[in-house]
Amino acid sequence: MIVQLCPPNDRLTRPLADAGETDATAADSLLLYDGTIVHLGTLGTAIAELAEQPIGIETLAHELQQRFGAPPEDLLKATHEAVAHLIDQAVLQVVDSGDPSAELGWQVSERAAYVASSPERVVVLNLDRPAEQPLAILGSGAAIWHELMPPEGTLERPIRRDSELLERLAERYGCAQESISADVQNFLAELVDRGLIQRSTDVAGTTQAMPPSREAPPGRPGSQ
Amino acid sequence: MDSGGAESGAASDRLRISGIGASVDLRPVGAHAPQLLGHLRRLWARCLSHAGSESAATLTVNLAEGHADLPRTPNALEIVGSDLSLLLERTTQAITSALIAARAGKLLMFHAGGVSHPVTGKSLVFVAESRTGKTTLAKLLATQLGYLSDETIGIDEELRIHPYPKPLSVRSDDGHAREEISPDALHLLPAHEQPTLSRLVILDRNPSHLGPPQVEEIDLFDAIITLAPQTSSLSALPQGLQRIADLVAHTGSVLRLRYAEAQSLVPLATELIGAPA
Repeated sequence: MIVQLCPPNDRLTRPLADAGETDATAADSLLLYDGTIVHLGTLGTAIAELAEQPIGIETLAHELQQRFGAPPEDLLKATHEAVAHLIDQAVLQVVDSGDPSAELGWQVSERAAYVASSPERVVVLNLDRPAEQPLAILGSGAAIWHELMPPEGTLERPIRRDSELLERLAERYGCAQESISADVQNFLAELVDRGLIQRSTDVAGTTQAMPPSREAPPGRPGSQ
Repeated sequence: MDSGGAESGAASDRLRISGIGASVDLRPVGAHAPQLLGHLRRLWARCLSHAGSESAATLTVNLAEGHADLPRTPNALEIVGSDLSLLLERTTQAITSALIAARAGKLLMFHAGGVSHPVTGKSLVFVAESRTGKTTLAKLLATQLGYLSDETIGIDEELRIHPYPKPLSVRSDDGHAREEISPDALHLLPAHEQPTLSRLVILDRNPSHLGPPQVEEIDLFDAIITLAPQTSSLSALPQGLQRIADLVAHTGSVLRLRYAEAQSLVPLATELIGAPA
């Protein structure tokens, strides 16, 4: 689920007198909507700030944990409850109730070393699995890898959403996205299996790797 | 003087009425128009406009026998009824609605009464829900302090108050019927020429309250939450919440006054804006 702040007519935010060890900055806030004022506490204020732009529940939960620490109960459940309350108050709106990972993108793993000798050929190795053969990626696979590489002159590994990847590849090969979607997904799944890419989100300029949905099988050669 | 007629700024069959910095035209129609015009001119004497003001709307008032008295309809431009007292009360409400609509998005407007110091212009504004003591307090305080309004106070960014010295809706002695009475008939003092907000208070009248008024400073957010339902068009005002916060920053915490009798607030009022000379 992706939610976003319903823009208020005006907002007043009070700073926290003693922020202590947490990263929280606001004590509470007032949001003015047509005919009503909503008073948000520290948590609600933080959620409203984080949801200025559309944000997924998982990302939100992660950010809240960064600021406030882990809640006594389940983090995601607690976030869902807080969000549900804010939706009831018409402070948040649901932008997309679909795939919870919809806002996630693909990113090259930090532990992936690679040599891109040409647009058509890339050799990739998982540094955590030195015993494995390096993977040689050719042709359209190399094109996908190139999309995930830092743009010319930068070091930051970009995050590409599925839709974005499909769009670029379809454009490059002059074909319909639907016709390549399955192949692309299979290839990406293989890269995930090899620990070469991961699902990530980009929040306020910081990259957050999401917990892997598929654990590497235990006892794989070279894994610690 | 405007060249348009006997009434400054308006034709002679109508009155141009100004309050909270806006104007509306009031035009009695029907068989009793001349009689109505006389009533209205007397009641609204303090709001009759100077030349040059622009009318935001024209309201017609018609005293017509056999006509059902309409329920209160905000934003009505035609006020019709067979009972004079009720018609005049509805007219006051319609004028207030039209003036508020004209100032939406420009002034911070409260359901409030207000009085100004006759010399300094320092003003006390008392916010309260309808029929919970504004008129009674205005009527009492304005015998020594200038009458600004008993219903609607409009405040601009420089904390200047735009007066609205409307007729007061006063309960008759039997406690049931209400009557519109002009501030002149009640011998209320005129407003200062440039009234400026000095303090905002919230009235909390409770007939069972004992002893002297209880004065409580209210936390800013609590004050805003309490005040918001007593504002008009707050959402239309750019940075409406900030406007209230700025107002409080300049005039001090909003005070909640718990009291039983309006008379008991007189010393406090003079303490807040200064005793009249």
